[in-house]
Amino acid sequence: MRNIVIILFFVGMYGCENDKGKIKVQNKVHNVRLESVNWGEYPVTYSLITGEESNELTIEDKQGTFPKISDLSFYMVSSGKRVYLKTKNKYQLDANQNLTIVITDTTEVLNPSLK
Amino acid sequence: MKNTLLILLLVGIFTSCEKEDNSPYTYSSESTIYSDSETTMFKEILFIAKPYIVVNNQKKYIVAEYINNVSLKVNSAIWGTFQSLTVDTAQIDKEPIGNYFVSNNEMKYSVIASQQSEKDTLTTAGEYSDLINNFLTLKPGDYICQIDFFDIKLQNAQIKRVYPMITVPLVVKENVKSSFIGEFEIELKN
Repeated sequence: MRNIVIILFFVGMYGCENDKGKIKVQNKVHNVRLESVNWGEYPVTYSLITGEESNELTIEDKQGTFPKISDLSFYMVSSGKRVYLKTKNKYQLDANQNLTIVITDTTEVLNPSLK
Repeated sequence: MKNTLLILLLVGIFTSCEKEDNSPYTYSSESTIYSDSETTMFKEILFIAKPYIVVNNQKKYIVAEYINNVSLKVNSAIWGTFQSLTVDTAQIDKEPIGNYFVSNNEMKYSVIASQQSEKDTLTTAGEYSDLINNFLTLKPGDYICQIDFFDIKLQNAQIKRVYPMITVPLVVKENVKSSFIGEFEIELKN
């Protein structure tokens, strides 16, 4: 009985192992800082100046919850002025993927208040 | 011993399936462009237009509810397109002459021109970067302001576009919100 329970314990642990994916963001937009950068519900980084790349954020969730798809939202800041934007495109993260999102001058964005 | 193992099993199963708490903190969608600078930013150009026609060597001022599509440029860059404050024409003694309703009294059309962005057309991160780097940032100094054209309603309800070709200096002072650039008498051809 004891062996069975121990086996079940490890089977349970193994069966519920989470999937992981990694995500990071690069800011290649001229002359602005991106602040409070979120990929969907996940906060990626607080601040990125032009040319900077964030640390990798590991996203871990139950098996079967990947791929995850979300837009990127951020405050664009310069000279004491800021605007809240979201990317028009959504970015997909698969399990075991290392995703790098590069925001450039040509990245299409939406200003939610102007909808 | 059996009970201990069962508890261990249940704890193992439930805790292993717990999701790491990546609780999002959400941001409000308030998204107008704003400045946290403590200095007052220059953002308004004010002027008065007084369009008139000449009848028998006498000025007759045009009576209309407003002038609109007033197009302004600063240093050749588009400042925006504006409508004047409205006038209650019912209270004005007027007569029809030619294409216009006119009055012997001065008619003043006041324009308050706050810099406009072309925000409706912005679609890329680079365009927004240009916007927040240039928006409301006319620094103290001398500029050239041009009033290119405006529209005015004729007595038959048609619209006439007028090209006054006004070019005047615009002086932006430190820590000042607006500048009055003058009153302009603009002769229209009847």
